[in-house]
Amino acid sequence: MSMQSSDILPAKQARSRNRLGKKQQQRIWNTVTFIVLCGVVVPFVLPFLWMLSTSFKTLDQTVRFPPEWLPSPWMWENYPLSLTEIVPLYRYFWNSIVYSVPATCFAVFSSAIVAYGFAKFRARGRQAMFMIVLSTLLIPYPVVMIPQFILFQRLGWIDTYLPLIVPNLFASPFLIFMLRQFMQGVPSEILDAARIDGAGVIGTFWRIILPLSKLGLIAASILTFSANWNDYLGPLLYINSRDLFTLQIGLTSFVAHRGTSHWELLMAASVLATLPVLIIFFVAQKAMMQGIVVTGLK
Amino acid sequence: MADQQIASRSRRAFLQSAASLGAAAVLAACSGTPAQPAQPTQGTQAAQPTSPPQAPAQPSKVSGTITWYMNIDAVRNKWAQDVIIPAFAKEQPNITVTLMTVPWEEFDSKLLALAAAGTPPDVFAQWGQSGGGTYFHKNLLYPIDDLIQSRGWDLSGIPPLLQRAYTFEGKIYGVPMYSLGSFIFYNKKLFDEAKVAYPPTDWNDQSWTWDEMLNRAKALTKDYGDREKGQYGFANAINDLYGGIPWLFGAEIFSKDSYDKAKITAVEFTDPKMIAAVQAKADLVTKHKISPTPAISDTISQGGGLLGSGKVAMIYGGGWEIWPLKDLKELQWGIAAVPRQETNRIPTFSDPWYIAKGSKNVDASFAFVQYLTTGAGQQSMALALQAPPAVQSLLPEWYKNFPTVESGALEKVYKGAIANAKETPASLLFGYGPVEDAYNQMLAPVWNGEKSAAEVIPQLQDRATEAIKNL
Amino acid sequence: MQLSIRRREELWFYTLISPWVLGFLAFTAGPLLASLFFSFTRYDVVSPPIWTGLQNYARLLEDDLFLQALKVTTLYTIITVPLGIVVSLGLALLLNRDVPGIRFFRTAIYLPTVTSGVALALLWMWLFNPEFGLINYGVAALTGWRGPLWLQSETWVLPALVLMALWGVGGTVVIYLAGLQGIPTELYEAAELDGATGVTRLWSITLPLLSPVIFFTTITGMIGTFQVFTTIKVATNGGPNYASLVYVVYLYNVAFRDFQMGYASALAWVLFIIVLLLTLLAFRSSASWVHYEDEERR
Repeated sequence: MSMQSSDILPAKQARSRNRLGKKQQQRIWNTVTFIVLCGVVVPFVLPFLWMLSTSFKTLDQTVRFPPEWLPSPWMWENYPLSLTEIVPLYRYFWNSIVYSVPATCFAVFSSAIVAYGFAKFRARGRQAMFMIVLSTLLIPYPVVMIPQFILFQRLGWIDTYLPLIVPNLFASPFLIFMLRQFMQGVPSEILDAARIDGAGVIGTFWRIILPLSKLGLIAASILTFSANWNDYLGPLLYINSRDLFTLQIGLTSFVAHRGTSHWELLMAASVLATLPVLIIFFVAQKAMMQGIVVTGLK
Repeated sequence: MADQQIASRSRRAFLQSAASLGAAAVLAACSGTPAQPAQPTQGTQAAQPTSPPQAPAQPSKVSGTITWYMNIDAVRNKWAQDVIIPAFAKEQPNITVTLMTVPWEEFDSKLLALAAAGTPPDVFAQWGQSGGGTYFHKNLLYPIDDLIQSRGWDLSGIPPLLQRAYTFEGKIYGVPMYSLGSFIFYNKKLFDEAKVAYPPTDWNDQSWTWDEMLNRAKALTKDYGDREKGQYGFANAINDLYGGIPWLFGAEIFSKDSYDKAKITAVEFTDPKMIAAVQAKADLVTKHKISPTPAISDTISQGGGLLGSGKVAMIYGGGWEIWPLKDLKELQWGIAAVPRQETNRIPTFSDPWYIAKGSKNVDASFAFVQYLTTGAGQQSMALALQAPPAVQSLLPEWYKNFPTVESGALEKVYKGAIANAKETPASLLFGYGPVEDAYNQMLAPVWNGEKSAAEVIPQLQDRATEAIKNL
Repeated sequence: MQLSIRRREELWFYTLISPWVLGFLAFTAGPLLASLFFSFTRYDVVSPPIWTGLQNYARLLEDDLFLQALKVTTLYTIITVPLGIVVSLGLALLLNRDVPGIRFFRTAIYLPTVTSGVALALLWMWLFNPEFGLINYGVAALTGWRGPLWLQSETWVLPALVLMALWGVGGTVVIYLAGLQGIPTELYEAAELDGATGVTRLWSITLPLLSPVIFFTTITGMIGTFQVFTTIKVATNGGPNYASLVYVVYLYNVAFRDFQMGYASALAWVLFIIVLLLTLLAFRSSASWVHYEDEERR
């Protein structure tokens, strides 16, 4: 896909001629970008800052107008309280991890396999198949909700995490589509070369396609984990036992339909709920920034 | 679900808004019994909290596991799990009760899903979006007349009108567990400061009219619209279609036939009294300027409701308005009668415990329902849920919840309310949901003052009639 | 017996996509067909469905709320999808530079998509509160005007919802970033040597190479936006005066508030057809503007 920089000798020499001017230019662009980003980031971060600020206040201070940014007194204890006070949220945290992690791994892996098929293999009916894959995204959930529920009930999977995890073993249309787009970017010359070298389909998949689609796979993992972590209707419908409740369901306990809602604890809990996904995102970025895997054309 | 990536990316949890997001939520009513003298004769039930007094014929071999379904609510869930279930287990060790909780917004959809799959929860209340009338027409309820007979459940401790409230097509489907009325709640401090007389506790006081309320409210309103200092004389916290202001103005809202069939067959929005009522409510904000705008109302009610905010002098609200007040110890509040325009009839909100039609263990469910609605079950409910019990002799338990209000006043206002009450149509009529939605959607410009009630209501009538047609 | 290469490729194709096919047959096909069946019945979920033929579909023609929902959803989609793509792309380009703190900036922009739903909906209603919200606070500070009624105004509710949607572009930005980082830097350097300006580089290198991914986000964005549900259900439930009645909110209310799952299913399948047609159109047009690395396949 990309050639080694050392192969482009003439270009490098040409570059060194303009070096100073170009570096200067880059620095200017970078500074401009930095300033623009600082401005752009504000609307994205402001609501979260507000959430953070509320999470350290007392209940009275949360409803005061005009809005006060600095909590006083500073209620550090809201955080541990939010995990235990209203519902055993720490257990729900764990529950969410228990189903989100396998669901994500299964979905990404199985979708990669299916996407590989769509991306690199010609067959009769491929277009039609792909359209069917997409079509499943087109039906609004509320109308399949009940039949699917009945299906899972007949399987005996109600009140377990099975309905949330098992379907992921069979790929997800969204991911199939997405990974297909990334895989189609792998040039056929590389695949031909691998075939000539005797790599089978599986070998090619494992040693070429996956590494070259790494960026897409990482993005897919981030998005899938988020989606599963934030899934609300699914767990709600399939889980009956309260100790199996997931994080999102647990969070609804903080808002009272009638009576007092503990906004400050809700905000603290929500901040905590965001952390796992953020951590994964931060870490994944490191992997993404390693850039393209360079494969020489041998 | 994993294969609905996009949808689930945007499928987030729900918000439960404070006061005003309508829909039949916790409604309890004790429909009016004519003013009764003290009930020494009905004392038998309450006197023996240790055994279910109404069930001498209870076969002790009733056993099984039943599911108890309710919405997620810290107070209720705690009471259910930590108080009731263990206590009931002592009385009926062969019956196991499992608690199932759902966020309020999904109460109905999960109930339907469970029913569709053939596994409905055995015992539940109308603590979701729909009322008993809707559940009845949707074949979700089990008639309990025969069970009441065969188990010898003596209902005489419960006012007759309450006994009959949840009777559809001649059969009883539920016996109310509590009866929340509607009242005027007021902030004594604001009244004292403005030197305005407290509202009366006598429901028959003919001088306490709508106009009189307007006058007092005007004296109590200061800095109208000011986001920090604004103080308001009056706020309405009862949904119109529950039977709020329209009933005060003499409008019936739904046709009599609707009540007979437990299904909305016609709406009477174009009745001049209804139009007057809607306009009067809009005028509170736009003309008289004594009520907060919806935006302000939403915000200030977030701490402890409108009354709890300390910014509103009087509210017309349901019995549940008291619930957040327990935590607000500095608030001096009182309870009073509702002013009359043509009448001062108020809605009451009673919630029975229903047994699901597809329940696999009707006997055990009924034993549980009986426990909850009488004796020890009622007692603990009155204290934990702060809801006035249906069994009249247990009312003093409820009064204990409110040490800041003189119990004599509380009792007088409560009894008076019941005498002037009618069960809310929200719980009784199938079709309430879509009609209420049309109402809320189309009257928005009236509340903003952009249009008058007379302009919008004819279209609303058409839209609502259309909605009913498709029921 | 030697299978021809073509045959073998086909066989591999069907093997690779078999996980999806199995999952589809097991978990999706049944419920989909059930909902199609329901669309020809009167079904309140609790009692068995009663066959009514085309009655539900006929009712659609006279239902002005259906037309309203279609109108609102189409308008919302037409505005949000292109705007979303432009904004996400712009952000991704900004975030693709090596600027100090870039990981922080990227996380900040991704933050909203990760915030828990309960807190998010709450936050939005606070922010958009006409009297007390931060947004009108800002508007008043900048212009002196008290600001519109936002979620309570028939004219301003859709703009508010579009803003809410734009705030959640983080997911799409992640996908674009993955795509951008897959473009070899050498291509840019070579272009620069040839004297290409920034704009030309964008137009001739970045966009074409990114087009598979842009195509993906356009399609999935369109599909997803047509089905937008939760935020709007919570924030406005279709109001005021049906001004924000998006299709799936209407559908959900018909199914679960009015207990008319039959009619709701008919609504669902009409949406299905509409979005399917649009998707097919998009695929057809894609030949002209989407560029895949392995050209021989097209």
